[in-house]
Amino acid sequence: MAFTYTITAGDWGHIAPQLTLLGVALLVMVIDTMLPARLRGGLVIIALLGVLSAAASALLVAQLGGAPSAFFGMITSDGLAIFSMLVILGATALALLIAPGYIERQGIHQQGEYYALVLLAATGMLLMSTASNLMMIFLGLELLSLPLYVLCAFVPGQQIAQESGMKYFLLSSFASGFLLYGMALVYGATGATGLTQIHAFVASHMPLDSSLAPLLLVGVVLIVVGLAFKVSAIPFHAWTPDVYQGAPTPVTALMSVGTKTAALVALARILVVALGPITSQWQPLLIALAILTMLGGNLLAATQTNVKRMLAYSSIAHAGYLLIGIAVGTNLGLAAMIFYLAAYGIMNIGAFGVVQVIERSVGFGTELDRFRGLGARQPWLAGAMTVFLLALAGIPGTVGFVAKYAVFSAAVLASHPELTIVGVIASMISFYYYLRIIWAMYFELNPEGDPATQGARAALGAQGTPPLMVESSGQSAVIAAKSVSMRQPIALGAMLSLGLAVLATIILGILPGPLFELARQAVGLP
Amino acid sequence: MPVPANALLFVSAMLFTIGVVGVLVRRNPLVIFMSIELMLNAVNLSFMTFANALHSVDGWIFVFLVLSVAAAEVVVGLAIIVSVFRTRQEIDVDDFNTMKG
Repeated sequence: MAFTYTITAGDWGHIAPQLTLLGVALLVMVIDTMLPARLRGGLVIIALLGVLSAAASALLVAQLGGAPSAFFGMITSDGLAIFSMLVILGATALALLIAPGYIERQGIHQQGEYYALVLLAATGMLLMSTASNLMMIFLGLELLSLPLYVLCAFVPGQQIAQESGMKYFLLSSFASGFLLYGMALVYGATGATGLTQIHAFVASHMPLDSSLAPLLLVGVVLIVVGLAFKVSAIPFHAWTPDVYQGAPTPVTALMSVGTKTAALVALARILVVALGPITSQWQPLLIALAILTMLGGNLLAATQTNVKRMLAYSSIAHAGYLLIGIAVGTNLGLAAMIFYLAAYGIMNIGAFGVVQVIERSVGFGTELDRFRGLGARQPWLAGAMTVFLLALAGIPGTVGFVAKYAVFSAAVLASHPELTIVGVIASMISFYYYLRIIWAMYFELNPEGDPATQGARAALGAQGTPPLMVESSGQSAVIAAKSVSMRQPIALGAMLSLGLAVLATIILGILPGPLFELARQAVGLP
Repeated sequence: MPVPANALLFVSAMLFTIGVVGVLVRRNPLVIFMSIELMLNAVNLSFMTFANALHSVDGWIFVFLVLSVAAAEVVVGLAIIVSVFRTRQEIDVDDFNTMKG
């Protein structure tokens, strides 16, 4: 058959954000080799400029309008794509800002590779959230996963980070296998890989006959299983706590938001957009996933003593709330979901940003003990953490409350009140562990003694016993000796990132209207 | 005489199942990784079968993508496995239990 498709300039315009990020990633790698070691910290500025120009080009694509799809229907730049691209780029920018201080403290020397890999992962996330063909979804997923495998294991010689990278790699490629098999079966049933073609085929073959139904439905289940791994929905969540704990914290922050956004948007496109005609067939599966994930994530989080690990379980719980948006199968659900993604991105990266200031070495030193008395030692840091935790819990006045309200009301309007009831119960469980940290920060004494007296003793220097910190985990004596003061220095970038996140959490919590209106327009609601 | 599509799909499903069982029961990351590759290739066989049966090129193109992605995955995966081996001198996944809870 003849293949007469010419690629036009407009096609390239549609993937301008992805191309920008890709170009800047390569640029960062090249410049890295030419800079002397002491100037390499400046690479983060190039990376940030790249992210900003990608966001600008995404807005430009939205402004120009035109045909919503490019490259023979492989890529779409509809409202959903633009909105999720901006969420991903915002998350990448915040995660880049908190990276430099962390990289310096952990003694990571390959800064160029680090920033280049972060940008490549973000490219994959953008590609996945704009894909409108099963092939592009798979390609985007792999393009975001491969750099993340490396980033998880990025700290050399650090066992816990390598373990994290290895686990992520093995389980994620295992899940990709399921996803691919599902795609193959859907392709076999419908004869198409484009989502619009799949939609047209399914719509014209309703009700499904017995020769078609098994192939298509098994395929859909396998696709849901594969993507549920990526959004870490229970029962496919087992990798999440270990990988999130072991990975460098700025990477965890990016992974928890970016991967979820890309995978959820792809899942929404496949289920709600392409397979909308058979909503009643996949809906029970999604409802079960959402309920299990909300309850399980929150219950497991409540048992954690390590804050980073607890935030990992909390991100599982939030995946449950997000899945409601897809499970209800309406456009309003999708609008609520992408609004929730934006809110979740801000507050979750903020929380991980505070954790990375506290964290002493990759995977260690984020025990709850470290947060005791933080309110007295570093009131600003503790205040920021309080805002993020209250937002994650969903206290009114923060963006977290508005997001939860949007998702739950979408469930009620789609006459699925059971999702709302379980969601509210799950949120009440979550209050326990979020407030537990706030309690520790303000109302519990620092086990290592009053910092003021410590400082005085160190200044006198006559005691002969430096205030060494004792910690249960091994390998900490050296690190403890290094950190002279209990006050953790906050790098400029982290300060900026945390400040922006706090402002956004509060402002969007009080005035959510414009952003929610954007989210509604993005999915085509009037 | 061409092989019937159903037989090919059956073989593909069997290969995929063997791969899944391999991932679940084997303890060496290299063997687990080989089992994952088996799963991917089983999927490729399915894609080829469907593409032939449906007279559509999409399946073939998908196979090319899967092959190249699998090659990229080998590079990254083996690098991670080697770096783990250098630090720990053993790579049994049952010993990857530094983190718990």
